[in-house]
Amino acid sequence: MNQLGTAASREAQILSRYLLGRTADRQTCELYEKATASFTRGTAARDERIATFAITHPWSLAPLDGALALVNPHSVLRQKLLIAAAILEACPAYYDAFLSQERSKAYLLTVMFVLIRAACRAVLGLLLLRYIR
Amino acid sequence: MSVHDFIVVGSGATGSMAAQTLAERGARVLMLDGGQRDDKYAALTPRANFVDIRKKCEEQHRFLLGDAFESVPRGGIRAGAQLTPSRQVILREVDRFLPYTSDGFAPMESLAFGGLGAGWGLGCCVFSDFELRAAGLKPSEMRGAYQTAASRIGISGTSDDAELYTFDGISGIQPSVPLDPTCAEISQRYARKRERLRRKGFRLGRPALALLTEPYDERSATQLRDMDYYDDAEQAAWRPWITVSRLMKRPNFQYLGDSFVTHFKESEGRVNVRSLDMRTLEVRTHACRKLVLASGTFGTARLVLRSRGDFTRNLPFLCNPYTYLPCVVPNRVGRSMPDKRTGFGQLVLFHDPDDMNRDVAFAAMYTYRSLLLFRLLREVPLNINDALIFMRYLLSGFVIVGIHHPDRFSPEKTLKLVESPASPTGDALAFSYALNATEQHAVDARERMYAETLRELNAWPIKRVRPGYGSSIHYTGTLPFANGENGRAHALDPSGRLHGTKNVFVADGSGFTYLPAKSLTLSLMANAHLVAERLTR
Repeated sequence: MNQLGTAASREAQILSRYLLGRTADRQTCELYEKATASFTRGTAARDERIATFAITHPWSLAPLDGALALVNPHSVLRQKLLIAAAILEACPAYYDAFLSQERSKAYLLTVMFVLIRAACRAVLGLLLLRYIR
Repeated sequence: MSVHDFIVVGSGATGSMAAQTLAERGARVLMLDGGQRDDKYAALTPRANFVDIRKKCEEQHRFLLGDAFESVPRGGIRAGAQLTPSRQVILREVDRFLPYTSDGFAPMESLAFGGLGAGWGLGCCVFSDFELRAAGLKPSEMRGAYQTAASRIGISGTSDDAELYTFDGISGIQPSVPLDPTCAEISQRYARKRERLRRKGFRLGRPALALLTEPYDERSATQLRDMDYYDDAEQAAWRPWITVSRLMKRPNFQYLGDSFVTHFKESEGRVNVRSLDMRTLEVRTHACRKLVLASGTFGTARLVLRSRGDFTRNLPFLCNPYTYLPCVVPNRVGRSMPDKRTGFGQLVLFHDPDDMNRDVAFAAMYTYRSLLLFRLLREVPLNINDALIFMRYLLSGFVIVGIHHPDRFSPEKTLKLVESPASPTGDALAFSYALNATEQHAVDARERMYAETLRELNAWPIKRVRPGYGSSIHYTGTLPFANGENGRAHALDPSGRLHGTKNVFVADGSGFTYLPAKSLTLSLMANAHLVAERLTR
């Protein structure tokens, strides 16, 4: 694997852990490497800096992702996350994380917590975006 | 050079229907067609159901996303963004051969084998007498033609409140596919509130679909694999390529793919047709006694304007304004989804305010699974990690309601041919489309009524998405029907003959002078059959 491949592979691992809390397998890493080569050409420098910051500081992924979902949904970081999600969804190892499941009524509380958490993450992300120039 | 009885341009829903009528009556027919085919992805798709494929198939990323990830949308919403890798063939070579400029109108055209019909949602509707007359069509002729088209393609449907708009007057209808539990919930709610909703002008029912639920005409019934957007394995869903492939077995029918028709010219009782080989750009010439244009409303407009060298005149056109409302049925969230299902339309909701079946608005309801969750995640204004948990929970109660509005001519809706040196033909279409204030007001008011009615049906709209002008993929009216040569250079007489010609006929929707909101394809096919039938009399 060349240097770019190693970097893309590491990126796939980070995004996979963020999206599913699971480590990406080799196939996912290889597909992600192939996909990102064509996906992030010709993008704005600040957009790139935000993506780089988020990937080098994985704790900031969720806040920045949440903020960009509101202010720039087609940004580089969102594109990378989208392609990572698409690849994970199309792998047999992770398919079940993307299909609906029978849930109890109490699960609604979990969903409400997730929505509140998402709002908090977005607010934090908006503050972070001001910091990344 | 041999002179064919007929040359048919295009293999879509109208070209295939016209060609079948001509060939079955013994005429010698040559079909010239872009003919782009998916030679990779559909063949990779296992003949198993969606969930089994997802569980077991290591190669699924190839046909779900594409080898170049071409099915992962980039940028904003656009027509065709939902096309799966096997259906991306619909757009192949389009940018190169069918360029356009526009100030906000995004047409979808195709050079695929089977044209736009390769990705048709299979919805069938019959126009009312009012709508047919407004479109310039004769109700007495169209009724029989609807039956002919329906008998050829095979339609399933249900006798219910929607029947008047879907398959009224057509016999031989097969039973509908089983209703998805989420839409069953909506249907039950409708049954309870039926009288009240009918008074408001709303009628809910099952769609008529060109989808077999019983074996018919050497085609199989749907296996409900939920792989409808990826392959046509059982041929349960009618596609134009099925008809054209059968015609190819006839000695009096010849098919020439990779042919991009650029010009026609009448001369000494015949029509000379010029085409480009799409691979080599080599010019080919053909001749026929009569030419039948069926390359879609915009494709035919290009061809007519280019053949006449007209770079000055504006042509009118029509396109249904389209909006979709993602909705949630609360009782159905957090549930599993049945393995056996279809991704095609589950329900249709018509708005017929005066109960006269005129100016009816139309909405189709779809539940969502096989197009994959990541496409929804990008539309949710949350971080993707939380959006995944949220949407996975909502998915089983998620319904997408696509609303079509009728369209009429106005000076704000025009196209013209302009020079474009970079294109193989040296030209492009320039579109201009906008709704005037009255039309926009009507669209807004209708959508508010739909949203209110959906809430009554326990389907709660969470967003209103207007994907932009052109996204309905219903286009007509570039060469409007007109009685007699009334001074309009670019118009059709009621038989489909192009004004100023003797032997050039148009079998697609170019002549329609009104565009009802209802699913258009069955009416296009019925008209194409009529045009061809008149030519063989």
